[in-house]
Amino acid sequence: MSSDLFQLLPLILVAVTGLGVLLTELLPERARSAVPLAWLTAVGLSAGLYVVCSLWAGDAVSPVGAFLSGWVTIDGFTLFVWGTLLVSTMLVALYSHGIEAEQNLVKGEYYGFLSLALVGMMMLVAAANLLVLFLALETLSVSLYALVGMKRGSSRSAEAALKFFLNGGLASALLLYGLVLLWGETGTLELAGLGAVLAGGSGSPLLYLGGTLVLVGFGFKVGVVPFHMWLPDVHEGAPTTVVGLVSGAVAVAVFAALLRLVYQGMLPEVFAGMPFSYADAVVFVAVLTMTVGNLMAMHQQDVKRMLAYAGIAHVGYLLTGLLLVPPLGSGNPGLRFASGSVLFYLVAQGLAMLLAFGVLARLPTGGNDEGGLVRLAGLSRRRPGLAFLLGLALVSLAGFPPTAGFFARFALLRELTVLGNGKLVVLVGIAVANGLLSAYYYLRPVMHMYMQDGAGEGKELSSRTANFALVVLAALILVLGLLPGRLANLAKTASRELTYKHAPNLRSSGPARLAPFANQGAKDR
Amino acid sequence: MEMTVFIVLAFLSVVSAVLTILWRDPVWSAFSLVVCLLGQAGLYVTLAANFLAAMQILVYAAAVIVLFVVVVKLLGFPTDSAASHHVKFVPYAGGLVVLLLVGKFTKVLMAGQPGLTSTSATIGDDFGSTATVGDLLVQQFLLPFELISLLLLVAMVGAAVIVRRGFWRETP
Repeated sequence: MSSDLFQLLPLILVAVTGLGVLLTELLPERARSAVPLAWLTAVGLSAGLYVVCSLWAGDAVSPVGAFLSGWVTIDGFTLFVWGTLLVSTMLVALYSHGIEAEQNLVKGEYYGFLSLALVGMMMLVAAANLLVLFLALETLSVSLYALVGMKRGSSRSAEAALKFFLNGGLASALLLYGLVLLWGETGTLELAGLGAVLAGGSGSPLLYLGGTLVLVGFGFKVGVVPFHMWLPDVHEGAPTTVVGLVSGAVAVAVFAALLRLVYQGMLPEVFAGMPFSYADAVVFVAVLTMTVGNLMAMHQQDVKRMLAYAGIAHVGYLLTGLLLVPPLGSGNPGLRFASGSVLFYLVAQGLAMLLAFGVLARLPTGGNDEGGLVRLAGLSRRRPGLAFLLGLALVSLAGFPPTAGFFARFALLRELTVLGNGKLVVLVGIAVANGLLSAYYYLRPVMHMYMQDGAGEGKELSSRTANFALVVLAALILVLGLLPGRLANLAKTASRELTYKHAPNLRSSGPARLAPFANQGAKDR
Repeated sequence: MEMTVFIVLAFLSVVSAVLTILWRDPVWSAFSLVVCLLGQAGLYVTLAANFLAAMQILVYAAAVIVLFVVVVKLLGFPTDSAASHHVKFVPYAGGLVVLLLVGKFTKVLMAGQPGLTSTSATIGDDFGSTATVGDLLVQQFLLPFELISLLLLVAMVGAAVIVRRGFWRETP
């Protein structure tokens, strides 16, 4: 029990931080304004981060105790993503400093909900049970609905919150229906049990329907193309710092949960015996997502909308990572995924998105929240530091050296190329072409900042705390681009834990069903 | 006997659920929903989940529906909305989808899937009783239970923030 609680301690610390910050709203007016909520949140989250690090350094691989077993998995993968999420949310809290007044946010609830959303994200990543998975996703979503609509007196913020709520509700309903069907067919709510049943048995239409509904539900949440419509509107209307959280941390958490469903819950197995294979479906959706995301991003005049579509394009690249699914029966499961390129990509993209929205949140809103490119004109002369940071974030998102984004995309595409298979070469080609295409819209804001004159309508916000957070983000992006080895190794360990730990399930599964990659295991060695 | 009860209750639930989304008048929709929820409570009773059935009636069929009706009356929806005129194709599209789904499911059921065979299990006398459910909640299901309490807290505080007095006053 005590070791159980220690493994849950990061989560408990974050929850306590969130609730404590909410309670500061009860203090008398004068005391309330004296409490530095951004720093309070950061301190609480760094305590959580400390525990995560000591769990990682200790016996991170030890199985969870009886109390937690079957509900959550605290393995290297969980700890890696927890660390990423804690750092991201901490930096969001810090760069929100001084913004809540300007953007008319409800202060105590804003910081409290940042932490509570983080509880949802962390639980989502750790969930080893479909029930916990759904509850965590709902905790996360409900916190986000409130955060998105928290801009007082702004009808656009309210519109974004309503759209987010309706789409999120639909996605949750689809997901829940899928989970129920999976449960009904397999008789287990635990991911490990689900994985064993799926890997062992033959497919059935109900499993297929359930699995597809789950994937569609997740598709809604991460913004896969046919289900992406809500994302740009939410980006446009929500407070900019919240958008940073959504595309810098929430995207990471939801995608990590999807990875766990695929690699631990063996969700690809529901496609067994179906007319089109899992690989076909992923390739189709990935190509569609990255292409539509990139093409739509080119037409946007609003930077936040543009970054929303850019984020969708990145989801497309990330989806190709789902092809690195272990070749079943090869005795060497998850070899390609275990290289950790997908996790590295998630971290790099998350950091760049955080930095971009962190800088944008500093710009004057000009009354009606216009996020147009015009607002950026001449920024390099007014605030050279901010202009440089935004430029760095965009360059990293575009995947140019010497940033983390370059290494991340290189590593991911390299894995796909090594995986071989003619269909994948085409996929890699499309991804590279899309990357080149995206340079156009990533460099447009940079051009506006550096080559055009503009007085700007208001004054950029200035806060030492926020500047500190932004500089930390920029330093992380540069360091990960120049010296990626350290994090790449951590990502590798984490990915290995996710795949090899569940190797027994895979080995017992008999003949390989994911035909395209069936012969890869031997070649890779 | 059991089958008859199941069919009657299932029919009642499905028909009232469909009526819930078909009525123009929201009050009628709410009352159809009551019937649907009561039908479900009946299904719970046939499954020996007595506590769940009681909760279903107390919480959903009573409290939630009262809330619905109060909100509907407070907001005063127009009974004949103009918005529904230009979406005439929607019922046809919906009907098509329903037909396809029914066809697909019939096919699946006719094919006799392995997972769809009926199984019977013996249950203890105290199955579904308040004491058993309570024990399960604070022992085996403690973690999800705590998570739900956090979720409800978040939902409550979030709703309170957004409907706070003066929140919607447009600021310059």
